[in-house]
Amino acid sequence: MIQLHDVTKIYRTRSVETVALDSINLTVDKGEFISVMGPSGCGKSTLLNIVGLLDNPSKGLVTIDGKQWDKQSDKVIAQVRNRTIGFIFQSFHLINALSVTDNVEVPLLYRNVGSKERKRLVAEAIERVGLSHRAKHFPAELSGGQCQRVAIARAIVGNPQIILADEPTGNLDSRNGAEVMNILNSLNADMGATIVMVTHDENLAEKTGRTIRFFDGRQVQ
Amino acid sequence: MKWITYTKLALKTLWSNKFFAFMSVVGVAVTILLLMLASIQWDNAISPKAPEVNLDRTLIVKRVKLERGNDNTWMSGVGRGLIGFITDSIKSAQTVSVFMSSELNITMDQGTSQHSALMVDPNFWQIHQFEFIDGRPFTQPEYDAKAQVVVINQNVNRILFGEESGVGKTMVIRGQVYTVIGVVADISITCHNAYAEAWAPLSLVMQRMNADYLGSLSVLYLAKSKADFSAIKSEVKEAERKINTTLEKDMRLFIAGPDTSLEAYFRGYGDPEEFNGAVDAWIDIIIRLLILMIIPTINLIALNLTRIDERKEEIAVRKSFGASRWVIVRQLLYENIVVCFIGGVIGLLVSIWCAYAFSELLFEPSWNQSFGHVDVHFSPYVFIGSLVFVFILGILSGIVPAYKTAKLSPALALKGGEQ
Repeated sequence: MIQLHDVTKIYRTRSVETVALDSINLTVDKGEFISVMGPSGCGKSTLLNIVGLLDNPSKGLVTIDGKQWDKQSDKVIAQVRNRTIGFIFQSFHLINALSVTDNVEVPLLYRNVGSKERKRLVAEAIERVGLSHRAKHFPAELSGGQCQRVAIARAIVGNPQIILADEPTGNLDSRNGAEVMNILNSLNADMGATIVMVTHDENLAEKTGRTIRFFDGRQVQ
Repeated sequence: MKWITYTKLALKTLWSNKFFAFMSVVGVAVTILLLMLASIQWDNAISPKAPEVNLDRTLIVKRVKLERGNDNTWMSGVGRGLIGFITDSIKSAQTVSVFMSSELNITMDQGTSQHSALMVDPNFWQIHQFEFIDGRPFTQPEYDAKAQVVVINQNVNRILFGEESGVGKTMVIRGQVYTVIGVVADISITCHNAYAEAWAPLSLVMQRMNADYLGSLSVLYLAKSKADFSAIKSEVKEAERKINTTLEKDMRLFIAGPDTSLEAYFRGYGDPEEFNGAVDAWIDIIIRLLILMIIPTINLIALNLTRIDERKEEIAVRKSFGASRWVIVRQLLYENIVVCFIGGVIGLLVSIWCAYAFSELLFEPSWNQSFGHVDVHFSPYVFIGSLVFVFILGILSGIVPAYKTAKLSPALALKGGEQ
């Protein structure tokens, strides 16, 4: 499903060159749920950005479903992000001006889905994360756990094959963290979604199928 | 249906930053207000409306310039000496009329009131379609006989004769007794060629004028269609050439026009030879539009650019979930057009109110001593033009910020880094 061949990412400023990822080789199979662990600044989020086609590697090859996408046009990459990938961020990144429903609808605005169908899919996704009673609320009116559930609903509304979760429980207490983890596990089990999750929490990592570890931009396990 | 969602999003986004919303909407509204007032003024001056129903088929000569050597230049209205040359010889015109602005002093018990008057020939009544409440215009025999007759408007009729019709009654103008032969409905002061409150035969004063080339007359040409304008203009220029051959060697006459209503509106009072007709009129319009457009465009660009930082996260999220650069540009442009449209509608409504509330300031020509009746005419083209202007404004002020915002790297923006 996801393959990284000798992927290196270097951030350059005028005076400093930082190697964020150093010759990473990784394969994630379809339907797999893996966790990525490592200390802060070891390149975990950079890995997700590159897998999620939000950033390009400085060197190496990234393939999703056997195809290399990073050399494609912005429009094609945007389509892949829209149809194949769903993102969950540590700090939720919800659009504060929009209600829960409108936030969840965002991915569907960028594909040909009629208004009625959009409403149905959004309602389903919100129901799946147990927030139907908050559908008309705004992010500022929700708790952290509820915000993350909205973010999960947004990530799954378009039924993507891959979910990339960047420390999805990082800003949540243990109870909400466990709830989010349960949702992710059920997405993996019920929908067959391939999930790559960055986490600092060993307990959560244990609940995934496989854990890979990073240190200073290199994969150490 | 997606556009409904986009509009909803645009309004929500706009509402989320009320200061930005206020500044943007007010900026556009003020611009549209100024544009609308200028357009309404302009439209009222150049669009056909009763009694100037033939304005779009009418040309006018109001000014001539006479030069002697390099030092002496005179500019004024048309003199009696020119009339024969530039009326009878213009064969392409359907009708030619000569008229002169004057004043009418009405003496009453309370004092004297001053009103605009025009001294006109019988053809004047053919070019303009006045609504006669009572009576009739004067005829060619009456004109030739220098009959002391006058057509007055309802306002003058009311002042002199109350609610009764003044037709058949007499009134005193400059010590002379005139018989009222017609009463017409009040006409708007925006009818620049026909506006007056009394109309008397020009023949009464024609003989007293010197046969000079410079004077205070104006000449109207009614063409069968606009297609005849160039022929009429050529014939007037030919008449000018002929006149110049009869002048002393160091003298030269220049006839301004004949002008269409658009050209007459933009000609101004400068050297008539420096006015390049419709080209100058359009340059004038374009410059005014650009000036009107530049300030709000810069204002909106600045406001939108300051919002890039604020919206960085949102744009990064949209890109993460499948919005391409072009989709982001399109969406931000659409939002900007919505903002401009809201401002535009407010500007339109305020301008309609202003057009009525401040009609004296807007429409009273500087030459008019007393304020007359104003009918504000609203053309659908002015509204459509304003909406097109709003659309262009939305695109111009939105394209640079939208493109800059759409270029943001989602990875960096989500991390809080800079592009």
